[in-house]
Amino acid sequence: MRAFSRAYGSSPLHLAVAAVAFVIAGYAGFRALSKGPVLSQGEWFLGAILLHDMVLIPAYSAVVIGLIYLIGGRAAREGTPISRVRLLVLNHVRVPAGLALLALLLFFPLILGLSEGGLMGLSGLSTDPYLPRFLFMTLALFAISAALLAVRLARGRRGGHGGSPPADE
Amino acid sequence: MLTRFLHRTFGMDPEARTLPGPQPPDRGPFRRDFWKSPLRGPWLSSILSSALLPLIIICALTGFLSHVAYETEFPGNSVTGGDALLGPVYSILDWPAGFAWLYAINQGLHVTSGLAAIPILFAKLWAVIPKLWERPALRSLAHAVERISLALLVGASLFVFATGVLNIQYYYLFGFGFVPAHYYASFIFIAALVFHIATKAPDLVRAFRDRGVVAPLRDDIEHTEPEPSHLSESAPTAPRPATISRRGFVGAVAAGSVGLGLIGAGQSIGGAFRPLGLLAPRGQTYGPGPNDFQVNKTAMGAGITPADTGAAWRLEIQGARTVELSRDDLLRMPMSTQSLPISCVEGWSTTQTWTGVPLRDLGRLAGVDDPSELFVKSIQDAVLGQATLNTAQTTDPRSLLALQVNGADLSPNHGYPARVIVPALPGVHNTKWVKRLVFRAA
Repeated sequence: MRAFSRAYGSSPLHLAVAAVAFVIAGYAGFRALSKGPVLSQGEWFLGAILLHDMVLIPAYSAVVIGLIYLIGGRAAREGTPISRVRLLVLNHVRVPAGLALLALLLFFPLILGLSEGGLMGLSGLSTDPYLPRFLFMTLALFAISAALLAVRLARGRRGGHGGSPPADE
Repeated sequence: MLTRFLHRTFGMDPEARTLPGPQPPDRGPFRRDFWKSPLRGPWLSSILSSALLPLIIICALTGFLSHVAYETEFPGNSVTGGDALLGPVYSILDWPAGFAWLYAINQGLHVTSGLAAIPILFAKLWAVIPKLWERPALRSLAHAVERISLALLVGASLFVFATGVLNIQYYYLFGFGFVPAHYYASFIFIAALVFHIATKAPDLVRAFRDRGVVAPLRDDIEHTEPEPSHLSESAPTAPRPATISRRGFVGAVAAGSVGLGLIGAGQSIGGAFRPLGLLAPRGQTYGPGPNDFQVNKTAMGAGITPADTGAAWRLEIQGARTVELSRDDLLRMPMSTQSLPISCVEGWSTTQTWTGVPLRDLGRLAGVDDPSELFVKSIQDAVLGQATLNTAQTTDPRSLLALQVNGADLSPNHGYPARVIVPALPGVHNTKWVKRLVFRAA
């Protein structure tokens, strides 16, 4: 038991549960592949990991870091704490932008009209309304965020040296 | 205590030998100090997991329940068929017809919980991304097993969410059938998730014990300290000053989750709530007319021509004897009016007032007073151009062969000359353009 644990790195039950999980996954993979083309399902499975971990995360991280440098000014470049006002502005820009980009990432077939053929052909609905709706939603998100920012900036100014209001969100 | 058991059983042996292999100097993301965010760490991972897990449980359960609702043991009812693991379970369970909105709620929950889970999944993957690059890459065989299971977990979760989101938008980017791929990938997802929970639950309990469940949400930016870096590879060794508090980060994720949930709920509840489904495929209305409500497949899309449904159309009813009825014959029978939903597997619903002949009466006409199942065939030749209804669905007094909706004749898009409408039945099984009913006696 001890020897197994040292050689394997955990208890035998760890391996047993993993084996059950792998058997179920193997069965499901076999069933799925027998129902459809092997290559494209495998491509989608591996492609999803690579696209997310190697493209999406670096891409949005780079955009966020760019925003921090842009809005954070000299403090951001020198690695010192960024002023409270700049942080408020930064967060009230990146949160609505992030939400809008998430909506675009999920609903791009409708927003960009790419699924017009499918939606119209099957259901008689057009994708035309989605681009204006998306733009309206994005505008609304930024407007709400700007209004909240204005309130917090005003409250911060009135608060003076007393309890400083939270500078998050 | 469960967590102590899990820790003893699934924890890593500190004395385990490191797997042999070349260890070049770490560069770029392989260096722990590459990861600068002060927010990452066991507490952030744990709070995101705690939010994600209930949504995934709802999404998975409703997904499997939908297969119960499809009554997959009847040939022609489903496109997954032949699943040796859960198929036997589905055939034992009978989907009831008693509560008409059961399937609408089931699928509304499935799609809405799935959409709401996506921002949390992205946040969670962001929170643990340093572990993808951890060095040494493989510490022991057990560690290798865990990393393989994580690849399955991440791949399968992205796969099920991506295929689901594309499918509800009718964007068939993928070159494979949606249903089996989405269905079997969810097996991989759940199997890997159960193992993941067994191995990680002790870390979650420890993170919440050390820092409290919600206490870190009280800190503003100035008081947002990094989590200790020796407890987990996800916590930074060289963090930059915080630019957002944990409350702000979690709040933004929650806003995304609630927003997507509202979009899903809007198209699922329908009626006055439909405009909430701003970006949802069924967040649009057709107009104010009696036949202006959501269509799954139009007559044109289904290849139904006016010749198919004209004066020559006859309904064939098979049972103890065979009967043929014209639409006028049907209109002369005693009619019933019921308010029932069409609820699509894609998570949208619409409740309308239907008028037609109760299915039971049509069974009696064919000499089957006590039917155990009903096979319905459409004029439409398609994968699901037929459906078999179970006993409860066939004999419910509200189950109709509908001829009219909201006081007007059915439009071609809604199944003229006649369609099936049954409480709590998956939308696609409410067969349109019916040409044959086959009642089978008990």
